[in-house]
Amino acid sequence: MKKLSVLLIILLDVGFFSSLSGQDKFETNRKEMIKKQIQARGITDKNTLKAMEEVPRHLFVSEEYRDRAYDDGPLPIGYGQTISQPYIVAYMTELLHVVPDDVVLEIGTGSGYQAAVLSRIVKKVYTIEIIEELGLAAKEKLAALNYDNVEVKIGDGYYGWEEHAPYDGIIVTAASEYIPPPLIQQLKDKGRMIIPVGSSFSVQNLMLVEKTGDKIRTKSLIPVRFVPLTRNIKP
Amino acid sequence: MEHVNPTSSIRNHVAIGLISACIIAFQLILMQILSYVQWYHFAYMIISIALLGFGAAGTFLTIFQKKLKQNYVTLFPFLLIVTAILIPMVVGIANSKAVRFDSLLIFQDSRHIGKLILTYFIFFLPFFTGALSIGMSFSKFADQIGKIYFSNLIGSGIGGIVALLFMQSIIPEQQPFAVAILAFLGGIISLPGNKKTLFRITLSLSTLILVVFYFYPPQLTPSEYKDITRTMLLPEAKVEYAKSTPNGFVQIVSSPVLRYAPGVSLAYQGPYPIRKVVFNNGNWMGSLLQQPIKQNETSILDYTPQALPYHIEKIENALIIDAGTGENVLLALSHQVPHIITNESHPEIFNILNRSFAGFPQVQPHQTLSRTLLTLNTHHLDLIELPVIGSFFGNSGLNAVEPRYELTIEAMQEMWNKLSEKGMISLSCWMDYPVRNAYRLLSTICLLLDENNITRPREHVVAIRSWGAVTFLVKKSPFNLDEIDKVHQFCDNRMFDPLVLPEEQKIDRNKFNMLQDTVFFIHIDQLLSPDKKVLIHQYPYRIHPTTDNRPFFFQFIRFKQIPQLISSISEKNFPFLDIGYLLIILTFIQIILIAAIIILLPLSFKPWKSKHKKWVIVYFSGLGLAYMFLEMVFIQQFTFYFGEPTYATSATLSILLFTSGLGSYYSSTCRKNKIRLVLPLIIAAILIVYAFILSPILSATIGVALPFKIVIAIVLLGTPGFFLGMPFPIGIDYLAEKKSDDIPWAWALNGYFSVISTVLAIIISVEAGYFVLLLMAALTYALVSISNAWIKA
Repeated sequence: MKKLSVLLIILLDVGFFSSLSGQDKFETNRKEMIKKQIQARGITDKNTLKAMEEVPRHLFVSEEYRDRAYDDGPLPIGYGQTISQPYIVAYMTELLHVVPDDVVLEIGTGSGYQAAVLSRIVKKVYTIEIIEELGLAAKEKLAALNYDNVEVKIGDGYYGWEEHAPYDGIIVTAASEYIPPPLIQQLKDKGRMIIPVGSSFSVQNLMLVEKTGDKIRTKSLIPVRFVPLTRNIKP
Repeated sequence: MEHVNPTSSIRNHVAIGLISACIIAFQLILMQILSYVQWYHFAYMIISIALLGFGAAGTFLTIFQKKLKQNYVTLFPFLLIVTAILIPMVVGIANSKAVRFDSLLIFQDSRHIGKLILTYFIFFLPFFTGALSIGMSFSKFADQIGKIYFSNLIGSGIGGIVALLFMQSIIPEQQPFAVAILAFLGGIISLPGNKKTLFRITLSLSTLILVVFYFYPPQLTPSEYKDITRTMLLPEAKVEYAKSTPNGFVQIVSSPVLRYAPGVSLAYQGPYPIRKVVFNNGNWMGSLLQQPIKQNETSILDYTPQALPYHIEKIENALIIDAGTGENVLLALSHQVPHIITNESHPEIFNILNRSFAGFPQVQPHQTLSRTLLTLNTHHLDLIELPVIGSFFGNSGLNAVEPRYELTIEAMQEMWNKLSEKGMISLSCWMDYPVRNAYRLLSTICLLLDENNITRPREHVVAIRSWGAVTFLVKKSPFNLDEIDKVHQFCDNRMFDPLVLPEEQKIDRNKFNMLQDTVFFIHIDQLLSPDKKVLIHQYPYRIHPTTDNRPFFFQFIRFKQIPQLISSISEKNFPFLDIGYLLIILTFIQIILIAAIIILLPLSFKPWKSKHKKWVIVYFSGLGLAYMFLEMVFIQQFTFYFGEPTYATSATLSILLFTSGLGSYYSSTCRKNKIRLVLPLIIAAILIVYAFILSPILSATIGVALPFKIVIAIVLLGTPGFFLGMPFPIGIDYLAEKKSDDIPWAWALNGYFSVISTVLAIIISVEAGYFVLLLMAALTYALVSISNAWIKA
């Protein structure tokens, strides 16, 4: 009996430590990700860095891609969608210029990762996903991980979520070939919208839409992956 | 040796014809299926795999020559029936979840490289068994090689036509079953009559299996990254219409959230229309216009930069190139253009276009390619408008090796010649990052102006920019101040920014749509300046104008850049950038290795003692290499000539194979003739002449009536085709005469070089052009001829 108890304790310990070492591995990877992929590329916003460090990205990808969750690239999440490269998530988050009292609308919940990151910074995140399966899975995951200030809706992001408008920031994570007018209308004065333009599997350019009174201005942001190549060219 | 009576000999020839037809038809159908589930460039992979089957069959023959020959009578029908069963089976397996690869994940997920290689092997199987049956016949009846080769080539020629019929009349899932029937029939007619039990068992079993495939055809699932797949994920998305055509699988999809507003200005306040969308092979082709069309209704495209020409000039005659479903035609119509000519080459899309504008006599749609229409059109045009170039914000380069003849400098010159004095060419492109489309367009425009002795290009070019696209207008006469004012007004009303205006104009290029820096503007200015060549030369991507000789507008990668790009794959820095050409390179490397392992390696274990070794290597390798080079050149030239890619490809292949078949049949009569030694030299001479005259003849006769064009094509293709069919059987015949064991080696080497030459031909076309490819084919035939000196001695 004594031997059995000892064996049980050893087994439990092994389980505990192995799970701990798994956790440690992901935490280490996450810290590496922050340092090498995000800070090294110029992201300095403390809120963004803290949020990225807190959110366990590996829990937002499927089991088969878990070991690659902190790699420097996007990963497939099914239905032709991807979880964006960590740097893109950080870059978009920083660009929103959001503060803890803000309310943000996200179009394209996808895996739920971007919403989770934003939820660590702002008061409330509303997120809309058009693909039912993805939206339901993200809703379940966010609830299970206690991201209580995120609300997920299955629906057409084109119309935004008028009920909770206006928003301090709108982040569109699904690529679009137009900028929906209802989203601009639901943006607060001096609000910012970040929208990736291009096909969603080749996100190459982010667009910033700024609203000042009735005036709207767009700004093409740096084509993130190709900055060195493009900018090294001497005229 | 078994005795073969005349009746069974005829049956054998028919069976060889059937299996040859089956293999070619399967090849074409598989290319179409892969274009649907993946992308177009895998067509080249299929040609290589098919030829790999032939090469591997040669090797197999070498190793098991004796047994195969001994059991020919039973093995031949058996192989045909196995091929018939394998065809639908491999399509099903390759499209199963466990095996299916995704082009866009190849550089992202190493498992997909494994799946791609596995797919090679799976597709290889029916080609191998089919080719083995033909190879066995060559080996068994080496003394009748001319006739066997004749049956093989005639069957192959017919196979091309049969494939078109199947593509037109049968749904894609059932097409593999339909082609399998050809091999099955070949197997049945060649079953030996003296083995009745074997006959019955084989017939019953194979029929049963094929019936199962008929009722449970393979499921074809397009890549999850294809437009159709993504669209079908939208709420209530449904396919309302589907039709298989030789030009692709057309589907029309509806969904209550499918909106059409590509790159529309933020100044647009109206609703974004919900539209049904047309897909061809799973790729977005256009949206269906709201019916009935109202001429006075403003098109949503009026809020895109493409509408600029209509706001600065009164357009009387417009040519809308490659109209698709007709959105640009509607834009012209809404601006009251009294005479609109337009073209669309895809027959099914053309029908949609034609129906949409049936009630508008001012719209004249033509079902042809734009270059043919340009040649035929006799009007002076105020506007020639091309569709928006590139994919929405950057593309993954999947169409990198697709020739685009409407964007070459020759095409631009033809357009320029058709312009009225106030006429304009309107060229629009989506912005891409790094910028490539806009720079290549502008460098083409500048070369066009140079060639027409315009020394001040800025007086003839206007460009504006929205948040997503750029439109260039090139005008035959200089833009005047009134027109420039209208450009400013249009930009202010639409929240667009001017990009290029005459030098004296001070412009704010960042008023509504800011760019992060001024690099883009600096480059645009440099391209309009005398030192544009410096930028064209130094820019990391190819942005020089394309030509009819190298018409690959979307191939931007420089060859020397490839190692750098490959090294960055591991850094995951360019997961989906310009992978089309890289996939071709990857296919080439893989096919060289796989073909070497499958075809050459097994042979290397068997000692090859021969007096003719050197000759066999040069002669048969050269023939394999050069024939495929020529096929590629001829397909491109005649696609341009006929203005219709799929039928032109099939017609070219059929004429070439048919006349080669005649040549091989005739070759048996000149086996003793010394002309056989210089025959490759005659071919080389014809090809050198062709390098200089083919293109001018085709250009000069492009406007003649179709029946004449067909006759011209038969003469131009048939002449070299006839001679091209002769050297291979003559060579085999020579080896048979010498009772040499070299035949399987000859077959294998020919196969190996055919396999690699298909993809190599694409790379040479991209890097050096079709002219060089044709000259290389001529040079190869000259070398083959020189090698004949070894046997002469």
